[in-house]
Amino acid sequence: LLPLTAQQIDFNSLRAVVRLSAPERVAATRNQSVTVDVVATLKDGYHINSNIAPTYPLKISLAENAAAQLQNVIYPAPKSHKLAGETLSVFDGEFRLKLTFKVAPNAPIGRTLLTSKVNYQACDDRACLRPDSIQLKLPLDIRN
Amino acid sequence: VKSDSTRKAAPEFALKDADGKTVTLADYKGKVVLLNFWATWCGPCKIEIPWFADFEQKYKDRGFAVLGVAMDEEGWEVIKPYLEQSKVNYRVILGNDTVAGLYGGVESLPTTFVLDRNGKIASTHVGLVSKSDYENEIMQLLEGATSSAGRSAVVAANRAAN
Repeated sequence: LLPLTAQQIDFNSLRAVVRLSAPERVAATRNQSVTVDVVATLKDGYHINSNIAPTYPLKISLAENAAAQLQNVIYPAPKSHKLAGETLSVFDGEFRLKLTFKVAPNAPIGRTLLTSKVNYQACDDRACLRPDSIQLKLPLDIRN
Repeated sequence: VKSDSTRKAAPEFALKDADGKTVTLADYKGKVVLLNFWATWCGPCKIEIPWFADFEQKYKDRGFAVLGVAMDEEGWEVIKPYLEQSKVNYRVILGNDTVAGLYGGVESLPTTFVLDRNGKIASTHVGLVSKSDYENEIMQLLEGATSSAGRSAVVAANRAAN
């Protein structure tokens, strides 16, 4: 695994509930799979729907890129949160996501920018923010 | 609630209810209206909805109405089953970003506006508020108490009743 560095990505200041930290860059060779740790930090008091929640789950997708594909995402175990008589499947606090990218066999040598979209829906115990998305930009150096 | 002189007119809109009928704020002229933006995926909204159903039942004969504005992007397919399951007894219309924009964007749900009989916004609440806070405001507006003495009397009477 690549070490985490201090790339801080802040988004959408009005509704900034989720902050992501990812490596400043990633290196891989053609046809290689590379796993990247991304740390998500939620604003105090907030939770977001987990990846298995029935409505607006946390979902990560990679924008079209000929150099690589998002092969797999490993999410942490969700937590249960009770509200209004329902048990919700959520993430809160700080948690780690493991994103595995597969570099294409014919990917061009050099740097490419992997742009992933992270869809989420956040609430605290008093209010919910409307579903939103943020971008995770990850520079990938493809070597021989 | 805000004093009469500081209240602004609630923006007009035309939205459809579950039967496809167009609903406008003008339809509620002369009534105190609790205008509640909510969604089926919003947990805190679901805490308030039974309160609003209770208000509708208690005060509808005194010139009061609840109007729910559902912000579910999936539309009636998800809203109707929830309304049936929750026995919602007031009118619900399907909202959109344009109307939300008229009301400041409504980035957070629930967002609720309490309108006086002249269609002006007497109070705004973002997020969950206590049932008694809403009920006190509704009572003040129904009884037309705008002076601080009048407001205090209504609040005290309501607290005693609860």
